[in-house]
Amino acid sequence: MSDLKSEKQSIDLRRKEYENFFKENYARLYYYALHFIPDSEVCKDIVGDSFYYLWERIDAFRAETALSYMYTHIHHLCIDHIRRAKMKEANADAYLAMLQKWDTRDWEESEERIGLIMQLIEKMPASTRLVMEQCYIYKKKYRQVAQMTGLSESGVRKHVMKGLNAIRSYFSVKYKKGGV
Amino acid sequence: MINEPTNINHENEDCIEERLHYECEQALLRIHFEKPSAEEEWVKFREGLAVKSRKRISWSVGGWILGGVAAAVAIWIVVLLPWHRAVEKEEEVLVLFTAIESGYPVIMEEQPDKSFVASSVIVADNKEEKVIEGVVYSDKKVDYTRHSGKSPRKSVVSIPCGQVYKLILNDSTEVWLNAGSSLTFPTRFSGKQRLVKLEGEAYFKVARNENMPFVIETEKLTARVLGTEFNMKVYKDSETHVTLVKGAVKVGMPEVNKEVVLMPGEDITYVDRDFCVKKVDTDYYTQWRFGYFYFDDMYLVDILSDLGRWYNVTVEMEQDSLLLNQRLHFVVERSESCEQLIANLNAFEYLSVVPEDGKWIVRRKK
Repeated sequence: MSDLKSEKQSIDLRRKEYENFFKENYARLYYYALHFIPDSEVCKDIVGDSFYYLWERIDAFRAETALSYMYTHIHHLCIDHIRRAKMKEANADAYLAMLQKWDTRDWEESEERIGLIMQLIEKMPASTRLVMEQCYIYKKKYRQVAQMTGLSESGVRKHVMKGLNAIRSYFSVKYKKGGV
Repeated sequence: MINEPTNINHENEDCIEERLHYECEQALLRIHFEKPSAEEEWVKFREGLAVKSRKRISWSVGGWILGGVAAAVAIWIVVLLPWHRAVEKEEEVLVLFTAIESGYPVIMEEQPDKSFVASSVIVADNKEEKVIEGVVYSDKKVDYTRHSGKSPRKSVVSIPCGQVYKLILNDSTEVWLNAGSSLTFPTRFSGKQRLVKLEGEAYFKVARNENMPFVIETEKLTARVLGTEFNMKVYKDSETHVTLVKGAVKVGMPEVNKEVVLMPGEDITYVDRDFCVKKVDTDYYTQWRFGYFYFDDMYLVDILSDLGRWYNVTVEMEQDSLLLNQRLHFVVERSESCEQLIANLNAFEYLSVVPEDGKWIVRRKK
């Protein structure tokens, strides 16, 4: 009888760990999937399927390694989806290699920077934001964005550069201030 | 040695540039796409688990189910006799559960001429949602909250063995129906109380409305609540349970003319005009929604009939006084394969479970 109690406890514990992992990482994994496929429904399905895959292997679940594992899994599911849907395979290289090397601190720092960049972007002129969204989210070529917006191709490029430079200079000033 | 620092610097610059693009894209994505609620996604995920596991199981026991279905008539024959009454019989084998044809959830709606017909929407194995008069139908749930039909109708939802289905009633009350259960309810509530009828097992998360109590009628018990969460298990011919998770519920037992108010964490067992209230770990009674069976100190025969109902497989047991009186603790995760489940049952020193002709034959281990 006590065996069952302890079995229930150990199942409960594993499930709780899994649940925490799910809640802490759902959003960032979802945004990673959006990098490949800018469609929130498709990405939610992919992230859900990936979590299900992990759930089936819950006996081997370890919170420390699970995140990197999930990035890899989602990466593959997204590529599969893109191929099946015959979408253009833009940026398939992605950032997986970089992300896999990160530790907890890298993740935290990155999240912090993303938050700051969001604030910077929100202050940018609407046209710059639009151009950057089209280039980064929808992976459009400068030429396509130019057609869409009526800007010239070099005008599009300038908007992107202006946006990126604003971010770069914000951080380089910050680094200098921080004395790095 | 001399070159190295420059190399690292170059790599570093590339890294920083790559990271910048990644973070810039992430920032844009997060502005553009609303942040998902991890809590909501978690609830959806867990509800989905029960359905997904079920699909896997049906693969692993497909042959058995087919055998069982062929053997059994497509009628609801649950020959589930309480063990103490069954002893009177002389037959050697006790049928704890008979597999029935596995199908889809069926929604029957009352017509103006008072006849019932299956809703025009067959809730088939189809991921697509359909909306009729504001009611959203799918293979996992039905949502009546935005029901726009002019006159409220009576509706009956029946769930086949081996499935779980969720209903959201017009007052936003959520109901999870377990395998082999049915719920009768109006498509819109009106009058002094919200009255529904249950057969089988359901978990209720009742939306609070103090002016309009929610009343559940079953064959032997009634439950009356204002707004609360509880589980009700009233399969024909087996022990009935009401288990309260949150709030308060008043349980009426018309046969004996008694009423009991349960406190959170309490469970009432009603069997043979007798009842007993005790403190329980409510997880044991409510986790089936998420794909877990916890059996805590339950009769082996009740456990086996629940498993039969869930896996939709006929279960026959040798009439043996030890087996009939055996109570045990047992945990099943629905994602487990049937083979694993049988192996776990066989781990009990007195129990032998053998799949034979699409049935599970249960004997005392010699």
